[in-house]
Amino acid sequence: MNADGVPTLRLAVLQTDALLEDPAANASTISDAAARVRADLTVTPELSLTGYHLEAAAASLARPVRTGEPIEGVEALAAAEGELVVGLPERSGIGPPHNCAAVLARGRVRHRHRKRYLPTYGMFDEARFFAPGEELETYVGDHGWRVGILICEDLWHPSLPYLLALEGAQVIAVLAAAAGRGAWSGGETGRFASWDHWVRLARVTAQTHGVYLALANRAGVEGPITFAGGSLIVGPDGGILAEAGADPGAVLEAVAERDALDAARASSPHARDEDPRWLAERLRRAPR
Amino acid sequence: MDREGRIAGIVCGVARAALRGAGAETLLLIDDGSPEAELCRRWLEPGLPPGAFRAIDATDPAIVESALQPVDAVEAARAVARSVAAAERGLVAGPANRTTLLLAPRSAPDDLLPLGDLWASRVAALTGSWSGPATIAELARRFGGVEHLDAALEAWLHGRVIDADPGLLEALEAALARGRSGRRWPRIVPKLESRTAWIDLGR
Repeated sequence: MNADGVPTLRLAVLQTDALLEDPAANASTISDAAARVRADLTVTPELSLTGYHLEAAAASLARPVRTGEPIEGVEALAAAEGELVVGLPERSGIGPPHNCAAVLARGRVRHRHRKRYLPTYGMFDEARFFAPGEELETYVGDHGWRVGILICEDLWHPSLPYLLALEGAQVIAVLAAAAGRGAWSGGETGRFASWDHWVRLARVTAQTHGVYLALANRAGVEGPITFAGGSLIVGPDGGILAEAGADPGAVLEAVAERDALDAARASSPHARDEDPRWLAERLRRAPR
Repeated sequence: MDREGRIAGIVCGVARAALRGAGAETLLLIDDGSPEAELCRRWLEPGLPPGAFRAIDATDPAIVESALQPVDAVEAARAVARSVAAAERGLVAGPANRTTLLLAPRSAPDDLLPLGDLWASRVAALTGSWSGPATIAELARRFGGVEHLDAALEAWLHGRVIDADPGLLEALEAALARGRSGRRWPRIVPKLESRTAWIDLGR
């Protein structure tokens, strides 16, 4: 609550640089940073516990992610206040692991999202090492806000934020490991032209659906890849509330307010006017 | 940050990570006197920890004598760099540009290629000139300048139609086929653009 009794949510983004294949060390770094910001909801990048280019190691590093239970080997995360969203490979049955985002409260799993769209083109090879998720659900945290989670490529598929919005999401947290590309031209953001696309996408998604959007992108270097950083927190009117540079370790904070959410939705009531029944009927006739 | 500072920062970040990842302490640049080598030195010497950068001077006449099996000055410098790297926990950096890496079959035996995602024409924009084997210089001349050759390569990388006459296209395809053999071994190329040798391109 703010001073006027309006419900608020303290949002934070930790723009970390994960050590490859060292979950315990990464958990310790994340836990220390989360303890300093003391937010209601803290978001870290994709695969923040393990690093990105895992390839076959994704299977050996995968851990079960079960509601109500801690995640093995990263107990340090229990010290974080509020909810903490971390990324890791999830072991599930005998198949390939999932690229997973786990929402932890006091070190125990509150909610999970398995990456639905696994990029397998250009520099990406995710479908070789991960299985796509089938679930897409929101959850309501102890803070009282309804939250949806997406991982990197998921945000580029408009159906996913749309479905989260239909479920009533007020906040969408996006975990990303977006490599920087287009260094010669640099783009509007000044380092990689590729990041301009992400900024536009984050702002349009937030404004279109009237949601807060917290985008945690990876920073630092892994092999030849420089991650673009540039994490963002965007308000429901599409305005940027906080923005990071390229450096690892950047921390973003912003306060989400229910009043601002309501005001944005009142002036741009597109989500309210959606007609999912019509859409469902139309999709049944769509070419496949 | 200006363009050169931005790109130098990325290249140095990858070079520092490569040294860390290899447990190496020194990056040995084969300094063949080219504008590419000068650009590598300009970025890497101040961008690496003190003492972590060293150039092996291929323009020094004594370099040939100091190599065990000299082929030419650059190969001698490379042999010295490899020898020093083995003795001093180092990595060897080669200054080849992206154009040369795609087209020259023997351009990439080094551990780190700082300019591997930077076209020759962009090296020229930053330094005033570029270098490459005579066959590539000749191909660039036939294309009407290295910037036109690079534009054709950019189109090839993205699967677009290359706007050139059939004879020129044939020469380009032959050069690309020869260059493919030079990309057999994985090297570290700081990623700057969307289609990078050893990262997005099949070997």
